Amino acid sequence: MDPLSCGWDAAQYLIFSENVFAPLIYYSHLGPLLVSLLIGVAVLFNNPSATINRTLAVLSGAFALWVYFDLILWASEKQEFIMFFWSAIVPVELLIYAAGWYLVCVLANHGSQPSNFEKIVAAISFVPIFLLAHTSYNLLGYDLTNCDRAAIEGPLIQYLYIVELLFILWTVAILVGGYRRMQNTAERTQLLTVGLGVIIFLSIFTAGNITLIFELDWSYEQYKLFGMPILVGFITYSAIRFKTFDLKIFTAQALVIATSILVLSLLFIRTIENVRLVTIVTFFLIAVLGLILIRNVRREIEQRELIQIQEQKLEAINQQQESLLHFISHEVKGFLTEGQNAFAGIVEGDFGKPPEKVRGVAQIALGKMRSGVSTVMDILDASNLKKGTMQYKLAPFDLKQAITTVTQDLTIAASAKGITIETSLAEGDFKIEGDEEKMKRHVIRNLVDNSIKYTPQGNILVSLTRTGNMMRFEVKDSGVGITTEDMKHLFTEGGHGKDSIKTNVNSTSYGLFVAKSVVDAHKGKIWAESDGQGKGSTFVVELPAT
Amino acid sequence: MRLSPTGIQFYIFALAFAASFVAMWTTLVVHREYAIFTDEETLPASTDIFSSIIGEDEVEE
Repeated sequence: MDPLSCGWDAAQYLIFSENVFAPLIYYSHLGPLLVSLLIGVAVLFNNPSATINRTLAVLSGAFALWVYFDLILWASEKQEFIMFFWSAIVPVELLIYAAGWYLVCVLANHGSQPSNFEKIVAAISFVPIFLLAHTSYNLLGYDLTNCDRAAIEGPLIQYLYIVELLFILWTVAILVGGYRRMQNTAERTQLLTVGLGVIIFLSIFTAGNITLIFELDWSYEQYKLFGMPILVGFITYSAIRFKTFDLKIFTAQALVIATSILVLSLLFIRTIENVRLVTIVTFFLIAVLGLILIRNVRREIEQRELIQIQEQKLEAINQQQESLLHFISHEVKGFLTEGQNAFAGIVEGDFGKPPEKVRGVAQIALGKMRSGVSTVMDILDASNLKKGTMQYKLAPFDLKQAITTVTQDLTIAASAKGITIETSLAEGDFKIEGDEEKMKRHVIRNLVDNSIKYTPQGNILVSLTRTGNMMRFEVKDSGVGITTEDMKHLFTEGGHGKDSIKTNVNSTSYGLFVAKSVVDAHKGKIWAESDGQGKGSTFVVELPAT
Repeated sequence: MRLSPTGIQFYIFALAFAASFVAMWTTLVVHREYAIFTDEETLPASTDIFSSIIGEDEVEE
């Protein structure tokens, strides 16, 4: 037969032509083609590193490719293109089954891939197809005895159908095995949802192939593609219900677009009978997808409203607690200061010379009172820092002099523990612009005092150097050191180290937080160095010169 | 960038896939190495199945 006598139409973009035998083909193909592309892109962009997302993207991509190739076969008029795409659709079709199987495997394995043995078995099934797809084992030749534009299929197609069936059975076995093995109800339902979606999708596909062989009615072939919306439905349910594929927010948008595409597909229907059928299917899809979408959006709104209410309540409770803490700290500070003054008066003999025993007791009590005042001041300052009400009185002062004063003050406390404080203060100008009182109390005193507390025995070295415009103040001790775990929380609010609290049970855990805030306010840097537990530590402060 | 074992497996598979496509394109489109049956008497059996699937009355002559 002369091909020219058939009057074939030239296909536009390979797929648009009058050569197709039924307009329904465009509906059955273009809708699922675009939806599967959309799903593939969505899952890949949402979480490109997750195995499950990658697998679904491969499945969607392979399906989109299959649909596109199939459309070309219906529309194209060129012999060589029909032979090529008829051959090429074979490995792509098997890839759909393999990707479906892989997806269920990943879900059944809690996100892990199948074993290497399973992968090799699956890959081996592709080998005959890769080797023979271009030969006459796949397509015997092109039929020019009529105008059907058909290739003649060879034995490789039968091999393909058998392997497809085996993949479905394998997927069912993995689904059942995984379901029985899993203990968590949510995980089981998630596996069941996606697994059933994949199995139904692949089964509809295979049913189409089998129908072609036994029923000899080409129109059944059109319905096998309706498996895709069913798979999309199952995947969407799983994505919303179990956050599979991390699709929650994106799904809502994707569903709207998918639904619009399906409705737009109606434009391709050209006969009344087809419109009725297609409208029923489209209505069903829109109803299901719309219901899921509405429920999802409503749940999101309810959750957001609940979170907002809880956030407001928490904020109010937090403010009440802050105010209470501030009030209590102020009151306690007042009592402690009065007690401190009274004991200081006894020690200094303001009320007459006390007996030696009373003086000793008063001396200890005075120390405790001073610690109490210092602790309360730390808490108050941390509270002020959080509220943003901490005020700095900036003026030039001598950092070296401030360090000398504080170190001398703390020498007595160090001596009482048998610790020696050594100083190494370089010569030169150490004037800086800052709040001297806060720098002395919260930074210098805090760091030296901490070293005394965390050094059971040994030495503390306080040093000050200047390099260019930067002053470096260091407090190095031979104490308990800092573990890697404690180092992470060192300068945070309430950042008690698990190990440090054992040494200093009275720690407020605000000291270093306040110290860092003060150093930050002076545009400086503070950090700690330690080789680990029992190996001492060094606290370093760097401040810019005036 | 170092590839993981799974990455290597994926690329080997993708390469085999691409190679089979190239083989098909070269054989069927570039060289057109396939049989063309013009005589109904010599047609292999499978074509009968397809013809009956399509249905002669559906074909636009």
